[in-house]
Amino acid sequence: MDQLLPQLVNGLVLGLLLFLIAAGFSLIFGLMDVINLAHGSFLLFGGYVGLSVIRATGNFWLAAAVVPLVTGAVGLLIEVTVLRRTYTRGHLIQVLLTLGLALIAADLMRWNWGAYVESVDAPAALAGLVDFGGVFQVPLYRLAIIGFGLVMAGALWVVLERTRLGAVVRAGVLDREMVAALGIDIDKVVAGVFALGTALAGLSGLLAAPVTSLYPGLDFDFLILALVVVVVGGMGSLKGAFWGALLVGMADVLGKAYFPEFSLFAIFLIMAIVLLVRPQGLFGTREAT
Amino acid sequence: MLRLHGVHAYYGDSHILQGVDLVVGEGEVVALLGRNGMGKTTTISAIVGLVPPRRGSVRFGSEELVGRSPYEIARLGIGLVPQGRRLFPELTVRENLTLAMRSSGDGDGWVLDRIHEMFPILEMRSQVPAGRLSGGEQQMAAIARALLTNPRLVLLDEPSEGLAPIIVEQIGEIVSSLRDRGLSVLLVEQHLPMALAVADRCAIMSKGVIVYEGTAAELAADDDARARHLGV
Ligand SMILES: Nc1ncnc2c1ncn2[C@@H]1O[C@H](COP(=O)(O)OP(=O)(O)O)[C@@H](O)[C@H]1O
Ligand SMILES: [Mg+2]
Repeated sequence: MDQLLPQLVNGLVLGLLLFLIAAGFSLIFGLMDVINLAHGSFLLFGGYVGLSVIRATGNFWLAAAVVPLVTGAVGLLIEVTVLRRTYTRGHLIQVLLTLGLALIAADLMRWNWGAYVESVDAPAALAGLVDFGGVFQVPLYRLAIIGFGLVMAGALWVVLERTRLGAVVRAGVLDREMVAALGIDIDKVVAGVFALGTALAGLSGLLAAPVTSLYPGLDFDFLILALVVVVVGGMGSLKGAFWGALLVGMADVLGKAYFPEFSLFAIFLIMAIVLLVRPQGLFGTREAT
Repeated sequence: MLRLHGVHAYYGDSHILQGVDLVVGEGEVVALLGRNGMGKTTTISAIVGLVPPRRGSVRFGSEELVGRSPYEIARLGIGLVPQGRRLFPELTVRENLTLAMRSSGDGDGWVLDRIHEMFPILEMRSQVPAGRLSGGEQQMAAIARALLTNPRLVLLDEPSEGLAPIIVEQIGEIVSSLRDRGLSVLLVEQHLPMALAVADRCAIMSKGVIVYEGTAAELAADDDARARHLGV
């Protein structure tokens, strides 16, 4: 019992980090049918950029402001120059291209930041432990991640469900051609969503760093989890990304805590069950093509 | 207003439109008729840039449309009511209508209130997902969605498809009222009586070319042309 509660908190932490990564990933998947296998690279890149800013200035908050700008800008550049050309060319090209980008990015990052595990300190204001009635203690920083993740989920929900731009994005997920035929420059919307998604991925890399540390391979670890989240939650659905992320985060943490020898078993079991029972995902409207 | 000249369009290697010539004048309703699979929808798609023509020209006012992207073409003042409606089923009726709303510039265009006056049912169903509307309601929503972009030309692709006779009649009245407000309309139809009732001129398409053109009255009187091209 005294083990379970802290593990549940850790599951929530991982779940909300996964949500920040999967939100953009899933919307792009839904909008463009593009599986961006470089999405995890933006996460690690964001973490490393944050590490450099912190080393130079000692200021975590400055890093938190700079990282999403940098990864969002790089994401926008890649969408406009490279990815956009692949939208009409089928999945094989996209998979090869984005996987290629991910491998190149991994090498560049290893070359620049090294192959060692780099730890990042939580900001001083969020250091320390919070005591829950003497039963268990949780680092304040992890509670802050949970809070921030929930706030971001709420903000994204409001934009997507309550604004006209959000309606355009949801309509684009359903019928992109029709949105264009109504006079909306859907390419710009897609680029914007891509930039936002990569900004969030970068930021979550920095936020994850004090918990997971940074190391070569973190990009693919999170990419796999994000893929599972999107399959479980349903592509193109924010709600799906949210509940899928919490489910996968919980399953991953609990699975590793109680069945360490089958570390990825729990999440793939969940994925297999969802695929059998609801192939479009928990909140998806159409099946993967 | 709209002038297609020698338009050729393909799906991959299949040569669908084989030199289409078609004119829709200012304030005119032109019915584009023809059997299934003759290229009517492809003509609409070629105009709006969803199937870009490989040869020929599509002029809208003084603008050449060939080579422009669909969103630019729409913004020049062309409203599309596509075959099968293509509403966004999970978005509410209101979201469907307001998503692409654009003002007319002269301050006297379509706004949501005017649309609700014309289609009271859409106001009552504002918060319902569009996918749950009846076929007739969906058709009205699709027309309303196009009108709210304040087009000068409306392209309607088989608006009566799958609807009960009484609804078809209503759709016909709506099309007439658009003409009365000075809009130009290109109406693709299988329902001949409706088309003849609302159109000024008719064109018949067969195998990717226009094979007949005349006023609605001429086509109504020409049993031979109707039998030959439409099978009625
Ligand atoms: N997406 C498509 N891909 C390939 N062929 C198509 C496609 N859409 C229509 N066609 C073919 O193009 C021809 C014209 O179709 P269409 O313009 O839809 O006819 P209509 O609207 O007059 O019924 C048909 O032979 C149809 O099979
Ligand atoms: Mg058709």
